[in-house]
Amino acid sequence: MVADSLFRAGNYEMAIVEYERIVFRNISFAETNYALMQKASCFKEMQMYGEALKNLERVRLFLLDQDESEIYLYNVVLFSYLSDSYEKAYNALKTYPFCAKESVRDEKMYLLKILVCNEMRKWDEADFTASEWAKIYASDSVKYAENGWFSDIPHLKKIKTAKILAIVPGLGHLYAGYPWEALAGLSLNVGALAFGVYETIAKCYLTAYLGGAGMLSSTYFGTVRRAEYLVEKKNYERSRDFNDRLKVEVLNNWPD
Amino acid sequence: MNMLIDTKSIKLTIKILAIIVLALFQAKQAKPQSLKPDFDFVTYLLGNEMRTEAVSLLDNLHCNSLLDGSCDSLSYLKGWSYYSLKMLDEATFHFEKVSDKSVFYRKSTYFNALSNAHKGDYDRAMLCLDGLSDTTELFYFEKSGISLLNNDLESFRTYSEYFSFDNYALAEQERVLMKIGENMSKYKKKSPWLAGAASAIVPGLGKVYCGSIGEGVSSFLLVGSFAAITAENWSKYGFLNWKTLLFGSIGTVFYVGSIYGSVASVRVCYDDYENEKNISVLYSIHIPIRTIFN
Repeated sequence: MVADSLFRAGNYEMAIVEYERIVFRNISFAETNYALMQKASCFKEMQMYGEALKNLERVRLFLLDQDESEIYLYNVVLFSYLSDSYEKAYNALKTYPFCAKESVRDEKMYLLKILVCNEMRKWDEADFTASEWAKIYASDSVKYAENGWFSDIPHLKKIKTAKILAIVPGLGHLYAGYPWEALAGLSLNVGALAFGVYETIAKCYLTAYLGGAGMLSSTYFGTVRRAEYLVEKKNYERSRDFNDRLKVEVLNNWPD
Repeated sequence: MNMLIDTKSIKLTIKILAIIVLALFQAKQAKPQSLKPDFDFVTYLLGNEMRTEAVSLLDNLHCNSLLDGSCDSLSYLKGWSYYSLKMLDEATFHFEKVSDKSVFYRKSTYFNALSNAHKGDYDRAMLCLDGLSDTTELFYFEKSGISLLNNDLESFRTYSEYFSFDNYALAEQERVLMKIGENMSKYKKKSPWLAGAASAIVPGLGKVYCGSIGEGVSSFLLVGSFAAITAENWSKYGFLNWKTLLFGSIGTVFYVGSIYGSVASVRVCYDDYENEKNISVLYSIHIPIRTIFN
């Protein structure tokens, strides 16, 4: 087949065109399925995982036998994960028939599930999957149980709590873990309030209202919004840090 | 001796035969092909939004390996593929290669004109259409659209006389173009001097004159607040008091900024108006071409 020769030669762009030509000719469903899977492989080699996934989604699933379905699901989960479509990967994982048998593909699926749940912050489910994986595949599952990958899941802050605490300027920032910004926010708000009060005492009411109150309304609501943003930022940093460390651990255990 | 001559002549004969066979083989390989199978396949690719694949395939096809007449089809396909990918320079390059003998000539010319119009080269777009000896309503419609893009109201009025408002593919867009033409004739360009002077008298008034009412009001409130604070401090503590000077300086900066902003906003307003008009015209002239040719 011309397409297969092009694929073997590494000319993926033209191989994609020729595989699509097979789909266009529509000689048989089996050939079309084969062409689409190969097209996905071409895109995978070019690291265009989104495109690879799109072509896999065109495959006629009713023609696949049990083994082919599992390979298909594995590719869907892998490409979804690599193209950051974690919801899709998670939904595909739900249909995979995990069973406690030792096989390379199953082991990869367990590890993929840990990675996907990790990215979605479903740490409890990731932890459970990791324990299942360790029981079957880890060299020392007892040691894993003691010092599992999920023994230090990051504690995430709540945005609602930050919003309520931000009623007192600077408290929301402190809760988010940014003490210097808390001090700056507090100083700004207290400064604006003090200015307004001082001008009122000095009977400069226009200055107190337009200058003091005007400044205070900008700084106060700005501090509240800033506190919410800082909580989101802190949560992202903590989960990113944890996710990256876990990814390294999982990839170190990736089977050949 | 005779045997030596025979061996030499046999070798020579074999060499000549090998050259002839090779030449025949290459001639067979170089036999011109029809574009039909690839044409249908490329149409399928473009119809399913696999534009990059279509371009990859077409880039590997060359005119000298195709039958006469297929060259034009290839140029048309390439132009159409690049147009779908919004690569207008490449699209116009290939559309221009389609000869007037081809069945795709009319479509290529119209899309060539449209591509040039999108690129902002209105003169070239008009030139493309001039090369087409056409007297249909679509022809005059497209010319009228390009005249509007060129801000040439006189030419627009000339071409719009051919509008019948009866043709299903053109009627709606003809009305749209007529409305745009009407708006253009009524549009009066704003004066930056007037905008600046208005903002000097009443801060923010220049922006309201340009049509940015919200910006004008907020500018007025901001400068007004600082003016009020400065006045209060001046009346209470005198001109040289630090608060008077501080708020006065900040207020002056905003006041001067308001005047400058009003002058600049005249240009911005005009640019926004032009962009909106051009987008509207380009959209309107593009629809009938897609309807009629697709």
